[in-house]
Amino acid sequence: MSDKLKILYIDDEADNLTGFKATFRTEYRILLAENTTQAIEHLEKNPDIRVVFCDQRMPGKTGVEFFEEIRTVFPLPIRILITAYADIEAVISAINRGNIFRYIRKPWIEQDITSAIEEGNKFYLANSMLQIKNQELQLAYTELDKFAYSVSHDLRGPLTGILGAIDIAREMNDMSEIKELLMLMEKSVFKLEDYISSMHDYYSSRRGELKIVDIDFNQVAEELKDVYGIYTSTNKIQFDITVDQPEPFRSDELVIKMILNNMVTNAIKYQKKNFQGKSIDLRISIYDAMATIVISDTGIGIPESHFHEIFNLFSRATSHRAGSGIGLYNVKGALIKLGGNIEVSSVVGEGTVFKLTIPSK
Amino acid sequence: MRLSFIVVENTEIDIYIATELIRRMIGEADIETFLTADAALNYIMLDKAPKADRHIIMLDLMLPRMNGSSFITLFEELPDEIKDNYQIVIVTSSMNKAELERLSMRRNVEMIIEKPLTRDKFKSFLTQINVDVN
Repeated sequence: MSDKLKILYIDDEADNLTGFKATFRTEYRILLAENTTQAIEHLEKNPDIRVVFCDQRMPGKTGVEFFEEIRTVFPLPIRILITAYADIEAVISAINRGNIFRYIRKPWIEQDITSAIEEGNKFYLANSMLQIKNQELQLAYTELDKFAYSVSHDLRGPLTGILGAIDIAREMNDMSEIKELLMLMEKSVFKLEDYISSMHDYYSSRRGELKIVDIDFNQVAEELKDVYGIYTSTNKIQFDITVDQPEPFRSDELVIKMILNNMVTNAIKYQKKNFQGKSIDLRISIYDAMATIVISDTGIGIPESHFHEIFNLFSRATSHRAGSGIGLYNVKGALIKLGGNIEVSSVVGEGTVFKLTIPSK
Repeated sequence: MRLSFIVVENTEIDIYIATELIRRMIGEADIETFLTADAALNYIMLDKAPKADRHIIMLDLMLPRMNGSSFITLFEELPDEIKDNYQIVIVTSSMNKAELERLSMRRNVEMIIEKPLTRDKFKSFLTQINVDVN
């Protein structure tokens, strides 16, 4: 179908309908209805109808009554009343009850209708834009609420833990007890540190503009090995990276690194405890201007029922591991920005495989 | 007097602090720790706690899956002969004053301690419920 604006016209006189369609069919996509039942069918099937014209005098229901009825169910289309009678009462109730955009006198002239459609469409667009902005605002508020919760849980929680530990430490004389406490305090500090850096990622990935450069994944892989190599080998995790990049790839390097860092940290974080043969396998291949990144781990796995929510802000699939609930949310956000995608498959107790696809820019 | 504690906290350091304070201020006591509220609730429901004169639940509010307030709501549905054995002290870093106010009205909630949990705060809780402190 063409991208002409959809206009619905309701009139009980067939001649008027035919005339309307004949006049405007080249410029708009015209839908016709002889009664309000047909009109509602059209509205149901075509949620993208922009403007609805309705005759005031019809058997059974007046135009005003019809508009009053549809304005809550189909609030978006612009409502315009057409009538042959210069009836001031009808005009008043059309405005007050039917909330109409314009009022057109019958017999109409082409120019009146065209200008009503054009003006109505502008109003429709502004209105829809407002709705979208409202939804975005709502989302931002929801995130702020979650953030407020997270401030007391993820920032204040570890801090109060450290304070409590300091209070107990004052009474301790045994060095080994103090050392144990220090180790717990260190964990809390790491948690705070991890949280702050993911908050930083969160804001820079959301607000920042993309800086597109050539990316050499072999070099990125070397850096990952440098950063995580020591940790994985001391914790007996086999960490393999294979890169197959026969062609150039362009994207934002910082964002790509942020994504990979998060994926690798997660794979490390959620390894099974006391398991021999822990491994992380990262495969990156670039073909047809598309990077495919597959990261598999032998971790604790994610129940299928949690798949849909692991990319949400502050969601934690597991209860007792150190997670801020921001990592995968950042990854998902960054992928959306790069036009990429992420899929997950997992078996609880066996491990998880994430498959990411990112197009070259 | 024999005391039995149920500690519901999901971080190591908080568990450590709670158990250490109990050990230091009371000495002999049963301590059972839980990382999640549902596990603790299950334990209470099945009446698994050891025999004791007093049962005290130290409850964090911000817990994954089931949070502290849902725990209290479900706890209140338990039969009287179980729940009347317990006294709850909420230990939290929450700054939600309205929620804390509401929770302090609950029948089995003795006290709300704002984290950090220190020797002084724990001591004043024990004094309030008439437990002798070492």
